[in-house]
Amino acid sequence: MSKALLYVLLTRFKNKVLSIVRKPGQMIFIIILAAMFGFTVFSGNQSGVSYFYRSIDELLSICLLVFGISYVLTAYSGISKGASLFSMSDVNLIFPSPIKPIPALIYGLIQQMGTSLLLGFFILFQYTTVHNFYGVNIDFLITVFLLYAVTSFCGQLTAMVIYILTSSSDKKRKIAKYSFIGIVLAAVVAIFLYALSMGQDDMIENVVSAASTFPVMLFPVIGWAKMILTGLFAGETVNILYIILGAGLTILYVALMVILVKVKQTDYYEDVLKATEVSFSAITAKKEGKLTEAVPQNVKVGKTGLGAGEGSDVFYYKHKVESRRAKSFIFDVPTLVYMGITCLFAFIFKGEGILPILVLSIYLQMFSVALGRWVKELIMPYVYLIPEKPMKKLLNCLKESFVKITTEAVVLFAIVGLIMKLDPLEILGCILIRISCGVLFTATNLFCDRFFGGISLKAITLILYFLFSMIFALPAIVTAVILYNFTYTDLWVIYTVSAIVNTLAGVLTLFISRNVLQYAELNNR
Amino acid sequence: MISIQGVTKKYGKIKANDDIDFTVEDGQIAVLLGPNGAGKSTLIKCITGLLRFDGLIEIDGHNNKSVEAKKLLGYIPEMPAVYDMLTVGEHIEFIMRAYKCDESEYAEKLLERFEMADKKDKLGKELSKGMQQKLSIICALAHKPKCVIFDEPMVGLDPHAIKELKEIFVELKNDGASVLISTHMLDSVEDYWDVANIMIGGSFAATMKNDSLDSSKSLEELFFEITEGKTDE
Repeated sequence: MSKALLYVLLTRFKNKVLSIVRKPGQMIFIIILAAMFGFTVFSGNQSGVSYFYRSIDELLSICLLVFGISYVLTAYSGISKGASLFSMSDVNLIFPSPIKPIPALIYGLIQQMGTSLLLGFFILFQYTTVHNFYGVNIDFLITVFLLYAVTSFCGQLTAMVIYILTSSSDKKRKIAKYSFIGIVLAAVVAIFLYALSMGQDDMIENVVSAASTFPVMLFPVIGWAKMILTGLFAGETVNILYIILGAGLTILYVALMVILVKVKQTDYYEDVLKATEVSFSAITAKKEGKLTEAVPQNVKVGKTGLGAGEGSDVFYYKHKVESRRAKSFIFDVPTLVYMGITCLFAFIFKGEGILPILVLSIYLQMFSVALGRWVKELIMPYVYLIPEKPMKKLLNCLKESFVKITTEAVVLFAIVGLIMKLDPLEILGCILIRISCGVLFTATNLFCDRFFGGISLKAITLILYFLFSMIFALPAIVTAVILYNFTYTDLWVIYTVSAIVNTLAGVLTLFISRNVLQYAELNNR
Repeated sequence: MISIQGVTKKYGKIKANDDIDFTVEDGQIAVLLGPNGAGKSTLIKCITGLLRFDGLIEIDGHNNKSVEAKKLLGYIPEMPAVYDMLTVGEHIEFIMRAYKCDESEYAEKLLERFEMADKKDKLGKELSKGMQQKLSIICALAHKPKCVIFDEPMVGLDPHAIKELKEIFVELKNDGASVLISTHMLDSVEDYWDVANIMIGGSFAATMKNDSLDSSKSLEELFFEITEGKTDE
């Protein structure tokens, strides 16, 4: 790599570190993250040793799934829309400079590795769960974190290479896209067919057994990542052969991708340019406070016109039209993903009772509420400019979210109830709890905007949102604990009473935050 | 009339606006000039009620946060404010319904003037940046506001749209509206400005009235006389 590129890489890294040291907000954020991680490890270790850990193969199969999702989604999105390892400043400063394309590509790859590492940070916070269920230690989680970064990096690289090789014709790109989907689907179907061939008594165990076979570990990138994990953690002793084979194949794969670019078409700049511009505009939008929306690339406009609404009421009808267009099925993509995860866990842990699944669905709901349509409204000027009372505008902005929260709760727990064969009253209790949590999280989000909206580091606002959500949920949690321990009432009664307490806490929080549209600092999210 | 009295806006310890006083009378075009970072956009966001501030801002005698003031206000932001998932036509319908007014004919006329009439079924996300800016202007004017605030309205517009917008400035003035324009393009407001406020470092460095000035000097010359003199000091 040329001296200039090395200089840029090192200087950017140095300046990033310095900026953290110089900005107390960022420093505090990192300290809080480190403290949270420390707490997760500490609380995980507090539970002591259990003699009833679940099978490590099951955990390795979950890791395979996580690697698969990361690799396939990154590669697929890159093949469709174009992928770039470069920033806009790289495109403008490095591409026109007298630096050869291959060193520039290696520079892009190194840069991408850093980003990929950051993407997998959430994995480290799963320590308590995996330690308690599977008895693994922090070294396992750190390895998974690194392998996740590798698979995500390879996904990005694969996408870029396929994009470059097929960019000359739409037909070629379509063939590449469908071949990619075809290979992935074929692998998934093969695993399920193999599992079925073992019988239908315990499907999960059969799928885990199928996913743990050697041929699965030969699947590019994700299989190799699992091979490394298996070599390190599956047996009593470390299997060096698996580690060398997995790592070697991955390195060869990266080298092959670079060679492909070199041999086939060294002038990849044009292909990368468009993808870089797209990702740059998304980043700029984020910096300017515009939330990017997960919408289908080709939106079907359908019937035009809002049809109804007067004054602030028009927000509800506008949101209905926007949601109709943003939907890929009945719900939008993030909601479908969260619901899918919950149903999958309900399927895997159906013997463990409804409580862990309910808690998981509420945990995921904290994220989906933060993505609600009303949140996007706060960064546009209209909601502040329209001549109506702030509280009225607020309620009308939230109306569609409340309808969505209710529909989501009903559909999700109807499916979970069927999977786990729950009692109808228990399903009803879960639905009420989830709706009440939706109200509470929405109110807490507003509360944080109302009282902490001015904080420039938005990650701190997000941490405060999680913190206050837990604080405001305490009355319902305490109610549930008291009812469970001191009365002999049914579970569904406990759920229903807790849901009522939770809703009241949400309404109170909403009332406290009612003037958010009067004082919020626009575009300061 | 737009009245600003003792407005101060702080970001932490930094004063973006420091004790600003001025008014824009009915039928008057006031321009807000100044180098980058002078605090023009911050002041505009304070006037439109998007930021918290210390001091008093009134729109036709109503506090700028009140419903009455909002009814009278039109705001064209620096960055186009367009909903990705609404069509151009739906944006107009949204404004008509939100402001409870029926100025559809006027909105149609604006769409035609800005050459957007044939884009009515296009989604916001499908528009180019220039077209988004045009739509943003149409949305702000569609409900016929009495006080209109433009923040860098010319950026990204094609020559035809710039010509139309200049005509609209004059029409608004003739209709008795109070117009406040923040811009770097001094020549774009040269022909019809009434009051020019020059901001430097969050304060007003000078306020000039067009009718009381030496007519041999252009706005640009006056601007540089003041700003370069100040920055040299």
